[in-house]
Amino acid sequence: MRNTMLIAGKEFRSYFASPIFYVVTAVFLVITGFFFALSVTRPAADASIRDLVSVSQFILWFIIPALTMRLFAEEQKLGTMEMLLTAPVRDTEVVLGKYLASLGVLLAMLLPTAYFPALLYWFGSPDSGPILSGYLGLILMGGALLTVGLFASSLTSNQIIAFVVGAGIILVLLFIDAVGGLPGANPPVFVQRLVAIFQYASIRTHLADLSRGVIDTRDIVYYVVLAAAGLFLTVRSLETRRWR
Amino acid sequence: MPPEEPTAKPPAPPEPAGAGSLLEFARGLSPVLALGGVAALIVAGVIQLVFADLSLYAFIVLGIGAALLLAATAISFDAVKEALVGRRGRYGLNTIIMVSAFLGLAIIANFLAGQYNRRFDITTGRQFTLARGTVTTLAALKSDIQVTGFFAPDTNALDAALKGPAEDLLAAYQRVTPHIKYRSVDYQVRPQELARYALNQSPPVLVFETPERVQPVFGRVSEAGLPQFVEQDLTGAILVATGAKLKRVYFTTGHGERDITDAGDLSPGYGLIRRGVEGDNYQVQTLALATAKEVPPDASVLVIAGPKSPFLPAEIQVLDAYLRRPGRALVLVDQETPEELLALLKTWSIAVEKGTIADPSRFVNPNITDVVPLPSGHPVVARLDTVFLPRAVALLPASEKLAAALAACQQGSLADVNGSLFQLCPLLVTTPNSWLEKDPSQTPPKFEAGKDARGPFAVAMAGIVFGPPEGAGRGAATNQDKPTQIVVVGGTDFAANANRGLNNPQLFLNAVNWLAEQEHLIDVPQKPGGLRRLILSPEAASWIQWSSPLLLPALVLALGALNWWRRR
Amino acid sequence: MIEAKGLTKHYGDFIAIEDVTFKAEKGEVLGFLGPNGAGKTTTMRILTGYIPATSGDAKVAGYDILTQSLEARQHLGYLPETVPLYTDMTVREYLRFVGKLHGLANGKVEKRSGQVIDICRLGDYRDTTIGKLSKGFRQRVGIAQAIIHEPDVLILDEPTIGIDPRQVVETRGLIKSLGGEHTVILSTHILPEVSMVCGRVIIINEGRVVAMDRPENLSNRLGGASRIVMDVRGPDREIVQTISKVEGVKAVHGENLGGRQRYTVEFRPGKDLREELARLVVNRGWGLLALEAQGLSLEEIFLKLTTREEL
Ligand SMILES: Nc1ncnc2c1ncn2[C@@H]1O[C@H](COP(=O)(O)OP(=O)(O)OP(=O)(O)O)[C@@H](O)[C@H]1O
Ligand SMILES: [Mg+2]
Repeated sequence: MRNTMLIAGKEFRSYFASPIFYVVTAVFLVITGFFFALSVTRPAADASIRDLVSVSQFILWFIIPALTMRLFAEEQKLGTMEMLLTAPVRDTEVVLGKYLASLGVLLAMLLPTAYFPALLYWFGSPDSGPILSGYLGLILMGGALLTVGLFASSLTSNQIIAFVVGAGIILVLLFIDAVGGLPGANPPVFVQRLVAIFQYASIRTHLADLSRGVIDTRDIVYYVVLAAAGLFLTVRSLETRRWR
Repeated sequence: MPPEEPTAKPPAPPEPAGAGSLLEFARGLSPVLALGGVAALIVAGVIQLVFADLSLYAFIVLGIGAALLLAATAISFDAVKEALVGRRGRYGLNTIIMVSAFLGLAIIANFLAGQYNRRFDITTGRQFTLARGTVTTLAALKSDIQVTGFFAPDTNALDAALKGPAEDLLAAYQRVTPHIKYRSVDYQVRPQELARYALNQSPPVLVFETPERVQPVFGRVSEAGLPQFVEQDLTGAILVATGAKLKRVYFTTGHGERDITDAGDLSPGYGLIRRGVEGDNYQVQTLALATAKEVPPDASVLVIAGPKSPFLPAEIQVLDAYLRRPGRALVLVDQETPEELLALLKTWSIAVEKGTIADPSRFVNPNITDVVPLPSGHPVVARLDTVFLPRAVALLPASEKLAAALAACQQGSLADVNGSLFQLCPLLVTTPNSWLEKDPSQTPPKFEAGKDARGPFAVAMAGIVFGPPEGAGRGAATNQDKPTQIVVVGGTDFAANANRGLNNPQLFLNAVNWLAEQEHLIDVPQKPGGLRRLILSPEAASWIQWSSPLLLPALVLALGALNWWRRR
Repeated sequence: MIEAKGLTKHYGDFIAIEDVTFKAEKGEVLGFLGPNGAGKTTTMRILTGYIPATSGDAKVAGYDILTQSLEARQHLGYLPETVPLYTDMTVREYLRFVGKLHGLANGKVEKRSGQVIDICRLGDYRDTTIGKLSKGFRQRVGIAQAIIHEPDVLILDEPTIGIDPRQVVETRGLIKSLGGEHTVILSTHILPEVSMVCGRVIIINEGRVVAMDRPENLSNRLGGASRIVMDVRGPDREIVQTISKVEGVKAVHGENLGGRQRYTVEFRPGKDLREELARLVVNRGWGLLALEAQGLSLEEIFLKLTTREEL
């Protein structure tokens, strides 16, 4: 635990020391702000952040790997991986520490977006339920996707490759439900069930309920399990170095 | 099938010169075989897990996978042995097993989560929770209902927009009952399926079907302008398809009552209220009193919505006979209500005092006569937040004696007046600051002692009467039978299409439900769609437009620059 | 303290090290000597558990580096070939981080980082961002991070590279003083460094250990004694007897090359025996196939050893 927090703290600080964080956050805020403004300045717009949430999931597609690409790739490039892996810390502690740091950074990135619901409360009276669950959804989803990015970063010493691989996996996870459109009308029953599975596997389908104010334990389990799987695979990926 | 099947041949340990190249070829093939084998095993697992009814195929695929793996092992035995027994092999296998086990656990966790999920609707008004009426309807289902959704999401943007929410809603139904079967059909690809139903409106449509009946449901136009599939419609269709008889609500016509066919957004018509009533699973009909000998026996509720022209004595007779049946009526009155009707109401214990109520304590800007009365604890208004009544008139007990009926309401008892039992409950009351303005020309209205009467006033009342209104004779009092129930609202504009904001429609629907004894539907609060609209002044809009995408990023970049400068 | 048995590392088909076996006792300073690409770094990486050996085992402080990796690492201080530095941290932040990573308590970390900063003469740069340090200072930070937690076993991959001569002397002194309490393995190309610092040397070439001894022994063996290598066809026993009798010969080692024998003749330096031995062999009627003298300096020995010749 001490090691985890030690690594998390170090990693968290180094995020704020690097320009990447500021640039990525600024990009995130520009895009979300733009779509938010668009969605609420329409005539008779809904006083909600639903559009903000659904846009965010697509922005997170490239924001997340941009945040995580350096976590392990840079250690490999700098050669510090050699120190980290020969220090008396468990691989799990290293992975968890880095994950917590990136999660903290994600929260720090989401924090300024509180300005948007604040505007809603200022100029109208939005329903607080969907706002809370929307943020819960973004954090859960972001938390799960961070582990995907983390895993991608553990595979290579090249940050660009880590980014591309991470974004690729996330893209698949986002749009895997699109296979539902392939079989055409009236597919056989087992194809329908397969499609249902792909739909279940998609990240987007699990944000739908949360973004409109319904908290389903299913969605929470999905995201938590996805995060656990990402962390588990990352630990295994580090571990393979010790015997590969 | 190619005749030469190198995989089938057992490996020949001493390599004859001729067979050497063949064995080489087989060696090159073995990774492919192994990969195919693993893939087959996974597919078999998926089939077994997901399609329990196809487990025969699962075993076949499993067999194929095992055979492929065996073949691969046989061909390159040394490599396999090295991979399994060597250090890397051991660790690699260990990792593969761990990862597979973990993925298996992950799948099981998700599967269980899907089976035993709980949902928490944290929106105000529980927008996404099925109404209790829906749940009881679904729970009572005994046989399957086939629901077919006709959508062409690939070619039609509207279909694409409606399909998801409609299926969400049906999924919520399916969580309650196993009897709803759903499939979707692209009507562009298979028009013949749609043609089978010969519908008179174009898709998207959900068709509810039992062996006996077919009931289509189309999207309802919502405030935002987009049609939507609405829970009430779906539940209604289930009721119809299963042959449940819907209660009927009759609206009288012929005296300038509000038009229930006029659904105009800003009109004084009652088209939208009528849809609300239908949405609560009533069948709505009109009743021309002048030609009717009686109110039809299947009437659950009779609505008299703001008549303006006089009633014939015969019509009053029909109404009175209906109320004595005993019947249930919702009467909306205002300044222009004809005297004949008011007289009838008076015999049924409620008197109407004409004039317009002004309430400086609770009114809707800018009109002091559009009052916002306070709801009492009565079930009809118990869950309403805010209702506003434009140009309300006051309601009073018809006689001194009936004042006891008001008191009875507070005690939850009945007052015996000449052998009939009465209860009179004010539903909505104005404040003591209000007064009844008798001079309509006064703008703004001003209280003039002596001319105008001081409040508080009841502006909506619910009356219960056991026995004939004139009294059944001393000692005849009994409350065994069903009572006559009347709700009178001292206003007609409140339920007009144009005034559907706040809880206005809900007041009307609650009254209907109370009269029809469908109180469980009263529990369904109106889903506040229109209440969350964001109305922005031009300044506010442009502030949001500019500050949202620019202000925050600028701040963050400034912070970054500061940080960089400090570190330098 | 360190025990390597039959370490072999393959990179695909390429064999980086093969059958490397050695031991280092507590308090010993062991030098790894070898040309570029010999496999020094590879061996050290295996010892620290950073990469796995293809076969063979290694133990550090009694713990198997593969199966008890964490315990082994708890006794380890390691300076990799590329100094592992977080360029965005200051020297002090970095040392603190590494110290805590090795389990030092908060108070202890403060004390120790102060000490190693003094030891490695980093005082003027304690609050400088590492990215702005020169190569030599980075190397010093690398040494500092390896010793901050006072490990039982210290593995240093080319520790003095890039450091100025004065500091090199100090660093060597430091390493020497660390021996005794700690076990140190260091790799280097610098020959004098070996004789100055190390109690024992392992010379490694193309992945194989070609010599392992105390430096002075090596010098004696290689520089102090001279030797002649000759290939002869004839009766083995007689040849050995004959050669052994020659005045000045200390020892004769023979090996059969199939149809001929190779003899390594060691003799006291000062006299060239080549003529005499050649005459002797020819006179006896044996076939003299080759004859070569070997009298080499340390550098020459190193070169010799590392150009595909067995000692
Ligand atoms: N990751 C790798 N993949 C393939 N070959 C490698 C890898 N790492 C090292 N080698 C090879 O293994 C051999 C030994 O390398 P090593 O780094 O151990 O040499 P060294 O003795 O440390 O050399 P130097 O004095 O240059 O540091 C070299 O030929 C090198 O090319
Ligand atoms: Mg090296």
